[in-house]
Amino acid sequence: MAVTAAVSRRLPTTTRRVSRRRPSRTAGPTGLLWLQRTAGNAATSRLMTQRTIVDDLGRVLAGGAAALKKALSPPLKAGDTGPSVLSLQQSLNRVGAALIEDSIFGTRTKAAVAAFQRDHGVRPARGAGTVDEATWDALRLGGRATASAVPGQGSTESWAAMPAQRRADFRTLGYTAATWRSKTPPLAGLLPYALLSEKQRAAATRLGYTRESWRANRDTTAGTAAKGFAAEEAAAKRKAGARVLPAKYVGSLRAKAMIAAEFGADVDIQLAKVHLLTEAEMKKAYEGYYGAGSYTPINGFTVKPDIYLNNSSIWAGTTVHESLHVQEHGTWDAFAYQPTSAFGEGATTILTELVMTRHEQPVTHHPYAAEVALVRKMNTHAGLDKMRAAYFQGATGDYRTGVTGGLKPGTTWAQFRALVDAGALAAAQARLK
Amino acid sequence: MTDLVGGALDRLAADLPSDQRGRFLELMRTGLAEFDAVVGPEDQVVEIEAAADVPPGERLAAAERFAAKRRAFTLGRRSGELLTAFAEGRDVAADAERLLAEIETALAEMRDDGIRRELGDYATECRYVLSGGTGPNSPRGSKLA
Repeated sequence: MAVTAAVSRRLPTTTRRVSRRRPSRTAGPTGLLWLQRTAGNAATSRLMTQRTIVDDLGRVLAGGAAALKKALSPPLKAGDTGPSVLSLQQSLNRVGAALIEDSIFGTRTKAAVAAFQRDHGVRPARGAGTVDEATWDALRLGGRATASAVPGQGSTESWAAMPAQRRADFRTLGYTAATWRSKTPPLAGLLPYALLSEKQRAAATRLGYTRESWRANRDTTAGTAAKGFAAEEAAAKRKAGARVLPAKYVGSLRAKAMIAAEFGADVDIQLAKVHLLTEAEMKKAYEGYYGAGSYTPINGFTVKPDIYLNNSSIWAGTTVHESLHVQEHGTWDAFAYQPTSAFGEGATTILTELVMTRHEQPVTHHPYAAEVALVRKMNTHAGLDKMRAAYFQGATGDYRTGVTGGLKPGTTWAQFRALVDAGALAAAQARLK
Repeated sequence: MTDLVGGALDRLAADLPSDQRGRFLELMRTGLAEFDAVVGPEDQVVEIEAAADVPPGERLAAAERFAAKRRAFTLGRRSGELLTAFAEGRDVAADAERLLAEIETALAEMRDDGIRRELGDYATECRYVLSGGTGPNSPRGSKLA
């Protein structure tokens, strides 16, 4: 009903007035002719278009919530135009795309769709940049497709064996035995908290949701804080528009949360200030900064406490990677004394993969083969991985304990550190168990 | 006392063509000379033997990289000390100019992108000092200064 009312409010005033005066016998050509005479061709055309939408909505409402959801998720591709494309553009802008809302599915919209899908693990059958139902679902979650809105996700309990009340609560929110662990929420999961019925709210509350966690899609079971920041980021991006974004929201809030989830017990995670640069700006800044020959532009680099990201190829992993550098050189003592950039790059790359794997998505999604190749080229030290393991053994505890525990008898922490500080990495590695 | 370092170097050099041995030993000794006293002979042997996995045909190039990295490391440490002194309020402008010249010489001579990048960091640190602390700094320099 709410959808029908919304469509009605969008109808042009003239069209609505004519519609009310329309005789009951208007289904056939006679009705159209009467309309054309009364309201003119343009208004009739508009009305027919809107009537088609309303008729479609009527059918899907009769078909139930699943059909409604499907109707609200039309497949789209480049070249399409119309209200659905406008809705798509609005949804993308809510998650920071900064598109012109012109109802035309052009190259920028396609690129924004593809970027969103890449960032949120959506893989439409017709290829990246085309919109399918899963893409719509992810957009309705405000870009939180990788975050769970489902208390059951990751649960090891069984549907049949869980308490009857819990099972009933899942059902109340629209879940079934087949979907209660699914990332994609049922219809109730798409509604704002305020629109939930009393029964649905009660069920949500018993399942662990609060008003806030429902709104922000915070997962009450996984405990990965990153998930809670998506809505705040999206709002900040929407407010800022275009590419001049509040620095702290360009992925760094999520990056900070993910890093904190992994290492927060060890360090006070510092939020990076983020600058977005074009490819050309990136190259200029990079060379200007390093002042050393010509390098292939990389995706980002750090200057405490700022990070610079290439806006044409930004990916959450890059933000995490560069944010780790900020910790490395700012608050993180673990390898702040690292003797070479190569070691810092290598360690940060490994930690990025660790963070992304545990808190976001598999690193097989990493789209930056060139960056990885560059880092690997720089990182020529064979013992890096072993040293990383020593530094961060039991990373959520005390890394020094891990290192000390990893030393061979007769070697002290001071000796180990002195060797690292002297750049004798192979010798330092040899002191490890 | 046995010359552990010399023995290790000779073992690696033995696999090389005779026309490469002299250069290999020279490069390795140049690189090893950059180490602090904290890296004693036994530790130096470990560093040398890390090159044993490198095929003989590539060992001379590895020795060049080793020497270059050691040289860059020393320049980086000096740059770090410079930044520390600058942060303590000492006048180190002349030192910064000298070091920057050395770094730029090294940059002109080195081809390895990774090492050049490190040297670029150190050059930036020197320029930061010469700017009186108003110019851009490297990540490490930002922490030290």
